[in-house]
Amino acid sequence: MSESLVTTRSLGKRFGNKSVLHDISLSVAPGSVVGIIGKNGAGKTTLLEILLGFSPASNGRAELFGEDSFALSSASKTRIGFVPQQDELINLLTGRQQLALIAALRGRWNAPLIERLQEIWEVPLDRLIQSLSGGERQKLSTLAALGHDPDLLVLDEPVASLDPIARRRFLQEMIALTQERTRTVLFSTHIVSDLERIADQIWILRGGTIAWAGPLDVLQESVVRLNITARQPLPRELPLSGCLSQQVAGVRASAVVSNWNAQLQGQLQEQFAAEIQVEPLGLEDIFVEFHT
Amino acid sequence: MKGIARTVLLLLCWSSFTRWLLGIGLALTGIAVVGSLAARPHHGIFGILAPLGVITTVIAPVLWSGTILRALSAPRALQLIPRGRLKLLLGAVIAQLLVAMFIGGVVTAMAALTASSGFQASLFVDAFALLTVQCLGSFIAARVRAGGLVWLMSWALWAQLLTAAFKYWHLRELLVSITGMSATVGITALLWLLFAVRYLRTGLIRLPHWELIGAGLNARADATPPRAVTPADIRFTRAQALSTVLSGIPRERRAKILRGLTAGLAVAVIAAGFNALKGHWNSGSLLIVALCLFAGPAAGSWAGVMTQGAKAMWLHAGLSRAEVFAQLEVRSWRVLLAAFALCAFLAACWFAVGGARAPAVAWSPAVLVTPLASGALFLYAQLQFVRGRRFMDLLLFGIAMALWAVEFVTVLGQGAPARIASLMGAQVLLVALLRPLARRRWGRIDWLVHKGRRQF
Repeated sequence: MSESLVTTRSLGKRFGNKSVLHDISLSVAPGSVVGIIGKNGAGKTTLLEILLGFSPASNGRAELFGEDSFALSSASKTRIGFVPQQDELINLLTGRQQLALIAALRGRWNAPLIERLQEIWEVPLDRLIQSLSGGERQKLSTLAALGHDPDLLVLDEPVASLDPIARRRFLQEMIALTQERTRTVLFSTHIVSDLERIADQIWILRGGTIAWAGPLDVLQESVVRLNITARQPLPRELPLSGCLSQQVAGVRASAVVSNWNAQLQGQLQEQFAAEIQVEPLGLEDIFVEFHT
Repeated sequence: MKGIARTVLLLLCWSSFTRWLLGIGLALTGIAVVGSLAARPHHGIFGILAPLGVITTVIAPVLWSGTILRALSAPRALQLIPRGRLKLLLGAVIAQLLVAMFIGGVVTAMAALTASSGFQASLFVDAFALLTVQCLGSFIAARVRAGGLVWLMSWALWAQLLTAAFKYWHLRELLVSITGMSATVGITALLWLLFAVRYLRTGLIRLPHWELIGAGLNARADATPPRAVTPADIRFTRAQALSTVLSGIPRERRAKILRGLTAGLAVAVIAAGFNALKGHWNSGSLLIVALCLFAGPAAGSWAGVMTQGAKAMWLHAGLSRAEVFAQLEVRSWRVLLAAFALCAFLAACWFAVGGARAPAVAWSPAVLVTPLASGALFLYAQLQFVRGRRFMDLLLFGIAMALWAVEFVTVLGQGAPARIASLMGAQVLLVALLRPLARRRWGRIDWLVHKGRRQF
């Protein structure tokens, strides 16, 4: 079994009395593409910034490449590329100067890769950064994060400012980049369709804790809507484990559960003497159900 | 009326920090006036507190009201409010009037307590005129460099108004005369009128170009296509890259700022020389000492600018928190030592030549060390700001400011060398306390709290 690139154990973060993250234990295997999804304020940025060592954890531990995130060595940092939610570009430089600046700091630079991506993404490198649009800045920020060929790429809402065409191109290139060599990607978003395109692992953050974490296909198989039709009136509240929502009206009920499997179906049919129809949900519906 | 009052309030104190400044300044001024009343006919320590209070109260509106006015005027939604711009304009005029009345009132009160002099109308008139120039200058400077020049020149006029020490090229006699006052009132009214016509008729007012304020590019640069980037533009050494990321200012811009500062220094030295040639050695000495006194805090405050770019050092430059602190400290000290060396050299040359002929200035070798002590205190006070905006950090910075202000008044007021030495001793002691504190804070810095530079 391959060693985890990112590991968290009972990770928690508080700002004063406000708990932003609590009890997060996760791991990421090399080569994974992990999508972190959650509402605004769910703690996505906080989690990513703790993982990258920008912020100390209040509880628990976060590790990157087997090192404590808060005290990452220089060697480990050269293996990380990060695109923050709010870019940290210098307005008074041109895009080209900004990239040269990062190259000087990083010490190594994959110029052919950046040239290729710059052409595909149509990033105007010779204009002052202050005159770039939000989407152009985001693409430039991503180029700056990719230039040193990182093993781990962390993107905090990378496509938020991009139009649909640019988003598609961007994601296609991301897929290609992860496939051409073992590169692990960790990205947060609230655009669920993007997750379906590139992520193989999903973490759903809700209220500062992980509501669900695992492979995308398992998520889609586990979270389903059950349409129950019984012969006798059903109780007002169905005792379903892993139930995200339910509506009961006489002999009919509709419920969304997060731990569906064939065994559970047999148990329910026996318990309620009911006919159960299983309806698969789209990722967007799953996300909404987790936050209802 | 409500809109106008709200504008006035925003121009006087638009953030929690400026509200603190206003509150502290008013409190200090109140203590100074009441204390002077009790201690008359002498001011004692209250004579120092009063200018400190006035400066603390008015510094934010004096520096920023024009820029804030532009920021308030820019949203297009303002055009949906009936007479929205007119309200903002009236608010701006009233805010400047209030500040001028405050300055005139406090100075008059303090003077009346000892010298029984009457209301100094000229001070109010001239203060309003200068505030007008500064407000309108900074309004324009927020988009166009020429406005910055007007804004900078108005500071020279403040110096002329507040002190008669610089005998040569001096305008004070003219400014306080009836003719001068009438001309000043006329010019001020005309300036507001011209501004009002332009301001009310302009279709679109652009947001301040925050990074251009003071020493900025010409705003028209936006409209012209950027020049091609040559290989020379993009070659950075690691040290140059660190400097650029920390300051957020490209090296060409830093060179421009440095050239501007050098030119300013040259003007000051030439002015001192002219005063000396005319036999006013005291004026020249005062100018040189004032330069030394200002150089320390100005150089030390550069640390504050660099803390804003420090976050990038963690991942991009691969530095540990301790190394980030070391980089900041070393680079801040380099700036401070350069400023110190320049000031010490100038002061030593000046006093070697003309010190004996300027008996009115309490010359002491301690003055040479002033920029170093006050600059170091400002440096470490700035390095404390890594936990968001905390009252204790503001208080520390306030203490550094207060010590410097007292030192400034003591040196220029020919205070005893022992007093100057004790003030510097206090600064050095505070530096010794603040350095380990700053180091510890940077060792645990949370960049989710200290987010650093925000792009506008």
